[in-house]
Amino acid sequence: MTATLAPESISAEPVATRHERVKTRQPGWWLPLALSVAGGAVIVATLPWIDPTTEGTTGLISAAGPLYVAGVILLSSGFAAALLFDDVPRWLLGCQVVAFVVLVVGLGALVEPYPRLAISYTHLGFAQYIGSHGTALPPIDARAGWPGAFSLIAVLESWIGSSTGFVIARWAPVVFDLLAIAPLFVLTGIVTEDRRARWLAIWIFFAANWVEQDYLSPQALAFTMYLVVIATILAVFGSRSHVGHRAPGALVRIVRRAQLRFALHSWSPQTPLNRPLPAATRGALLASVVAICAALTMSHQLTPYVLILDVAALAVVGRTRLGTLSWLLVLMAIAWLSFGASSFWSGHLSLLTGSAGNVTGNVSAGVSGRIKGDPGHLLVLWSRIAIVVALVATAGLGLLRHWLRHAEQLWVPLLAAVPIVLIGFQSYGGEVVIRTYFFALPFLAILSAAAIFPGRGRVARSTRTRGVHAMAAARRAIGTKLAALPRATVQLTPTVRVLAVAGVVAAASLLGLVAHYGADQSEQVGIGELSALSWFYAHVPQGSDAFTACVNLPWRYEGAASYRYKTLVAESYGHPLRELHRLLSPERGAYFIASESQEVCGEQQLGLAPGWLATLESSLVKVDHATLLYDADGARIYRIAQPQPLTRERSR
Amino acid sequence: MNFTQLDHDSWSSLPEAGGPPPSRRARREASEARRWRQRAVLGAIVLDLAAVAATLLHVAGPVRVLLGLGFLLFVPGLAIVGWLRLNWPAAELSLTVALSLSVVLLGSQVMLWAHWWHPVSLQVLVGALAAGALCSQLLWSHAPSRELEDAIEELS
Repeated sequence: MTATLAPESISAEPVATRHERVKTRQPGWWLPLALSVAGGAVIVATLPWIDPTTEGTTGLISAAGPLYVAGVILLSSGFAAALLFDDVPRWLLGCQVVAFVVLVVGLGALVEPYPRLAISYTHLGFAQYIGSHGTALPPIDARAGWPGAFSLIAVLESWIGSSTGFVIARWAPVVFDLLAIAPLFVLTGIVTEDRRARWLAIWIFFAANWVEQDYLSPQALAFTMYLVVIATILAVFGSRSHVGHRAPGALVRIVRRAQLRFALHSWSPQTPLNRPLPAATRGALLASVVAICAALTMSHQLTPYVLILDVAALAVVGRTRLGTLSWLLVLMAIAWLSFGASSFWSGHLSLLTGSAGNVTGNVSAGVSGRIKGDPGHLLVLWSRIAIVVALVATAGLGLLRHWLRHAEQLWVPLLAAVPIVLIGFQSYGGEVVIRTYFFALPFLAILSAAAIFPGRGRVARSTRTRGVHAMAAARRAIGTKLAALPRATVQLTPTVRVLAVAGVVAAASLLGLVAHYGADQSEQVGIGELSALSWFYAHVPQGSDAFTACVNLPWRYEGAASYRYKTLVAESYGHPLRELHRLLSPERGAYFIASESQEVCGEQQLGLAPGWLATLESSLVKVDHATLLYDADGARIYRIAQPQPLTRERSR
Repeated sequence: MNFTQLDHDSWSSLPEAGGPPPSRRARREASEARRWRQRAVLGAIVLDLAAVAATLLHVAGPVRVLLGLGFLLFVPGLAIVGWLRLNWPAAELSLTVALSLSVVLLGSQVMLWAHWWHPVSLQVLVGALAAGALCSQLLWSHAPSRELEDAIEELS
């Protein structure tokens, strides 16, 4: 191993000056480049042989095969090596992250011919309704009150000449992930100047992002905008010092009087935007932020409120001078709720306020209520939990290392913690914990990267208060105690260090892959289901009731408001016929759609016995004289002409 | 002169106020970044015209998909952000994308409210306005800003 290792990688070696580093530069950066190219080539070569229909209960990774896994390990090792070797080209880390996003995070889009996740099809259906009718959606769904993203998709469908939008939905995850890189790079640049820390944070973000909110959805669009707004607020409107002293708000005064200000914004690296900008530029940037916020408010139910909390929190601690933006956001959200989405909440107010304060119930619905299923699915769930625990632990370590080096910026843990407030207000369909993690993820990733590359900060002169001196004493005391701890006497050679770090990064990448695509067996969409639904829309008269057993049926991509779509709730699977009869209209009858992926969904995610769907179908035929109209490629459509009265025996 | 107000594209080498003057490398990076911005604006103009033409001519296939997506993600935003000269490529790129999406989204909402759903007309309108803004940026960017001229003169 001839290359020099970066001075600040893991070990506490003295930081070399740039002159020294240039002096000792050796041609070692070819190794990370070679590893990455080899990994990328192996992955690309493997893709045509990955058949998602053969995967097991651990998801897509089981179908990917050992060669693909070897490619991921090589790619991750290349990234790890680039982090450790000094003087790698500036473009290398960025290219490696892009390759990781496309080839590993975007694996589903690469190997599955149809868009993943049934919910994407519902969103396509909403866009199709807007595109074909030219009007807003009727109140068929809570999402209809926030149609911004759907109208955007409808416009895009028109521009690209796509009648179904499948091509948009298939590639949406890759596009949204790529779009998140730039705002994340800005956010990390506000924390540190170290490019390795910045790119490592972005890598961690994608490796730990198993929540899969990047599909074609309002939340994916809103999250991209959210990142940009937060990054712009922090980068441009970050510090009061650039516009002179202004009278602080009451809370800021309290904080300052308590001499805690030292801990709130002690240091910030130089960026191009924390210099005085011309008033016109600042005004244009503010107008841009407001426009983005307006678009965001029309698109998603939850994100505007997270943004309100974030901006308010930043204003309270004096990290932004745009405190009024949070009030403006509140006004926009209320205005939209009152005018744009009134048709939704006027009839469903309990959905908005029903779970407020029920923290235990909201957490239970989001965590413990979901830990069930077959052993393969449980492995996937526990890998997700392991990622969250590891991320929070390393973020805590990163925060400590930042603090010891005067490099802490407490807005980062603050924004990681703020989304937790959501748990107290909403269950969000049992997803609030997942969404909380998603909104905290960028900031947890930044802190986790700081565990390896903590950087070094300084205390600004203006903040050298009594509290600062006390904090400095505490830092010295803790630093001394940490230095006195017994250290490992084994001296790792550079090769071993590179291998160790590469192993950790590769393991994290593979764990992320398992967590991300672990439920793919029920989340992928097959040609059988799409053919059946194509038949359904061609032959079933509009206005009919359509039923299915699990939520993972890719329907509603057309005729979103032309049929009454109903799904049996999971709680009713023990007595499906009873629930079905409660929903069925005795006059009209209904159509029941079943598919193999629903069978898998019930077995994997709900722990139902194998063959549960076949039992349900045979009961339908026996009790209600359901007629099989369509049966091909593992999908079936039944017509229930007139439901029979259900006796107690039959309901069993 | 205040070096921190340079119309400078290389923020990493920006000197702090009162620090040493900008190096030759910084000047080279500044002019290089300016050339990159010009190329980006030129590319956006080509993308703008090609995407609108593809829509109007009903071109089919992946080329139109890429053109339409590129138009949606970059053209309206760059027409606005290009004027700001933030000198931070990542910030400019992220704002460009978010503004592009927001402009088209707000435009589509206006069409819905007005009961006038014509997405192709929206593309032509946005494309024409953006082309005008981008062309003027291209013409304007040939003239170096006063601060940059001062800096170069002082260095030479």
